[in-house]
Amino acid sequence: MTKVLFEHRGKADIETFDGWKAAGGFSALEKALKMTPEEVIEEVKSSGLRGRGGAGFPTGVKWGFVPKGGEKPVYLCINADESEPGTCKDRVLMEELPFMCLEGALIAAYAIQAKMAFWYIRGEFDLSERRMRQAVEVLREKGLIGKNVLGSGWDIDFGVHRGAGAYVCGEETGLISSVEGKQGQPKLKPPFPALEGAFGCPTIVNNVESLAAVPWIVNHGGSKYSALGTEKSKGTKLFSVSGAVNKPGVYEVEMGYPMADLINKECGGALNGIGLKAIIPGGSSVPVMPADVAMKTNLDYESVQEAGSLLGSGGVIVIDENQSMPELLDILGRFYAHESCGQCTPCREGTGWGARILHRVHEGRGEQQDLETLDRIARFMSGTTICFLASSMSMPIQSFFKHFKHEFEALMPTIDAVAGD
Amino acid sequence: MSENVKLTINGFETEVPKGTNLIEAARCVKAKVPHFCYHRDLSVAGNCRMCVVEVEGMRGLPIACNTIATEGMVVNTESDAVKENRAAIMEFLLVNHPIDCPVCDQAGECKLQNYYMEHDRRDSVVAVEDKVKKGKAIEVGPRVMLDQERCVACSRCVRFCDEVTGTGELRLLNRGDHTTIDTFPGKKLDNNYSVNTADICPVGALTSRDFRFQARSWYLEKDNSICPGCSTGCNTTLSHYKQTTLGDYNGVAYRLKPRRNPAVNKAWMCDFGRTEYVQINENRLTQPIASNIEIGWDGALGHIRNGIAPLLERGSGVVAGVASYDCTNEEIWLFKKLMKEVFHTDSIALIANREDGYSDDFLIAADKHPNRRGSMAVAKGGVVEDLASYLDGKLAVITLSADVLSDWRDEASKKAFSAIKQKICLQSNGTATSDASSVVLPATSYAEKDGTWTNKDGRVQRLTAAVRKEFSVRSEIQLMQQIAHVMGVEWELKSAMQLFAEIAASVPEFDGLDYGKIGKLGATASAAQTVSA
Repeated sequence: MTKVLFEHRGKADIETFDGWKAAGGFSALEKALKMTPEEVIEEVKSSGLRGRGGAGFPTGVKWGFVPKGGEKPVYLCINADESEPGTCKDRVLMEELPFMCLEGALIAAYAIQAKMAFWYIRGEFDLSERRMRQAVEVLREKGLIGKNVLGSGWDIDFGVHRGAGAYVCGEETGLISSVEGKQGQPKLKPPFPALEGAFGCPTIVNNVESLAAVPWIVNHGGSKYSALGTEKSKGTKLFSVSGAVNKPGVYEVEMGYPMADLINKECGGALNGIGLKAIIPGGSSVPVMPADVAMKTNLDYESVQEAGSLLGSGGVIVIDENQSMPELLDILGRFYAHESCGQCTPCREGTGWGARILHRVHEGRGEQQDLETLDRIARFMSGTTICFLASSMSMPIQSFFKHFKHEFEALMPTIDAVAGD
Repeated sequence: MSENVKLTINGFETEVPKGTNLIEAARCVKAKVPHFCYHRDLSVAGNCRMCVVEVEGMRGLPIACNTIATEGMVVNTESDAVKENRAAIMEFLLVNHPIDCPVCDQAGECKLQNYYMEHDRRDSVVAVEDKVKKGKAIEVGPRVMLDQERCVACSRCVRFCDEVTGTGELRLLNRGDHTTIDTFPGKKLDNNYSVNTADICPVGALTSRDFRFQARSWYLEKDNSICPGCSTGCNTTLSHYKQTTLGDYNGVAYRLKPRRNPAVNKAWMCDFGRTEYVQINENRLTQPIASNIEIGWDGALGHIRNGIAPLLERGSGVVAGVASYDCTNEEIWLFKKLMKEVFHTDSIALIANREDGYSDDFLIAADKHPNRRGSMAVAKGGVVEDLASYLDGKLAVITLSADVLSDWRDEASKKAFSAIKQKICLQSNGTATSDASSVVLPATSYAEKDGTWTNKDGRVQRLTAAVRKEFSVRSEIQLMQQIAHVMGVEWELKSAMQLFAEIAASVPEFDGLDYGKIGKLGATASAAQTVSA
């Protein structure tokens, strides 16, 4: 299988400048700087690369939204705030292949003619931050970051910023708020960041994995990349598999790869041979799938959606038969209640309220109306807020109820239990 | 002229200026879109999610505050999906709300209460012990009280302090349902406009400490008024007790709130101006007094006739007339006429009652009088410059809301004033001058009379008789006409409105104006506009 992102993974010293250079690094940057920014954007458009942060929006198209010839400076923000539970792909890229990520970001910055880029790293990612900071320093010394990069006449500077640990700063406008030095709260759209983002200037926010694929695309051509994967989901994708498998980890497979193969071949099958109950395919926010449905699904945006979930960030959480679903949802509910930024009414009040009810249901202290109330909370929390955090809690609630309601009902106190004297 | 767009809201076609959002556009067809966080004079936050509407061709339910009307847009503010969503938002807002309306000052004028009745009306399913607990009765500033549990986190107050005053004291702290309004540690909400945060707070989270526990809002009558505190003339709403059987409360004023006027004060007023309701209640002159005896109206007026009529025989110009910049335009007009036709004095003195004070570049003006510009315009030609020499040797003096003996006045003027034997005082509140006067006629405060003031920018604004006092008090205009009558001069009785018509006919600064044109928001005379331009 063709590897785009992990082509050079594991090679000696690949995390250093020399190692990456030896593996052919920076040839893409040199090539890109000889092209016009428009040509770079067209190349990436033709590759069909879609944003790997979870939304799946075509990367080249996004770059094209930046107004041409505007007076305001353009900013590139690299979203390395990987905080979706079950997802750890960007971390591996930054820790093991920092110069590949940075090369991709440089090409992106050139394509949108940014003069400043912010590398926004999740607060808990200590090694990632050190790697990226070091990489930026090295490139600065080598003249690949700074004035007149490789004689192209284009200037670029990079800032490395470590987040303070808020999940919602992984949302692009939340990230922008944080970069600006404000509370990490998503911003109302419109205006969209491509027109009015960081400091009121045009801003493009790209996920690390998206950018990491760019050097390969520039080197090999967009058509070569689009030859990989399925008709609508091009290229390859990283899947970070966690939970009840023998070999959890981050794997690169072509889009459209069967889930069953990922679990059984790459990950060595179910842990201890225990039967699987469910799989969450794209990070904790997407709907859970019963294992039998998931195992028949292929890993591309369209197939997963058809099967009732979303590919999201590619954080595959594998759940075996011994796991209590109410317990799992209780944990998720607590997470989202903790991470809600508190701006929008449905999310601020709904996540906390939902989490309290989920907790008492899980502990067997549920009240008569609780499951009905949770249904209502999930329904009205979804799609009515500035960002998607509220929907990220309602999708699990709705899907857990859809497939595993009986486990919740089984925990509800019987009439005998609640009766008084 | 700005371009307009046509759109359809709830089946009605309407036209609004380009750039209008759907909350404002809906007002044009009398559709009310409920909202907490949106405020016309602040930036759009879009966080309460109450103002959702349905727009044909748009996915989901967009929020009206951040959706701009476009040509041909079809909007429904009352669809089932919209109503269902509003009810859901209300339920979310009430999950952690303490529902302590019985002890909340905001009750009766609370958006949460009103919208609950209009859009929700369901029983609570959350037990009190399950609610998130936050801070109560926090003295967040010298004039504002904070109850964090009542807060709906709409961020209006935060945006006010960021965008209007630029002082940035308030922040939304913490996250999720622990989100609370607070100041930075050690900081207080102490700017000159801080009580505006209580006004714009849609719920009882921020309340005025001055008004706290003073009255239930549903007992209060609300009338339009103008702040008398400085020459800016902020438009206000005066809350006072309704006429009830509880006689002691009748006519008692409780607070001043800003009334929106885009040309003057937008939706704001300063904290100093808010205290100006106190003068309506306190230190009032309540009885006609002559020679320190409560003598009744007839007695007092008779006293004036008996005291001054003989003096007039000594020639013209023996009676001095002193008015202040606190008077209305109509009062100054009539006072000039009174002095000339009844007391045969051609000139009057116009004085300041207070020294200039603090000012800023927003609403607070240094001139602490509401009508200096109008008084000067109306009295034009007949004003004396030097008060001391004007008073010197006069046999009687009539003061109209003028405190000649105030502390800061020059000694020469005070001395000249004190030397005059017959001192007639028309005044609403007790002053050193009223104490020293031989005849005191209790007059109306600014809240009890009709008239106009002209602010520093030449905008003529209306005062209306809002409050009716239980005690004996007559308007200055009425009193001056009665004085003329007892002095044997027969005038046709005129109202403030009729007097204003006379002013408009002869003073350029009022050219073309009448009470109708002035309306609730005031107006500028065409001539005055030319002058100021």
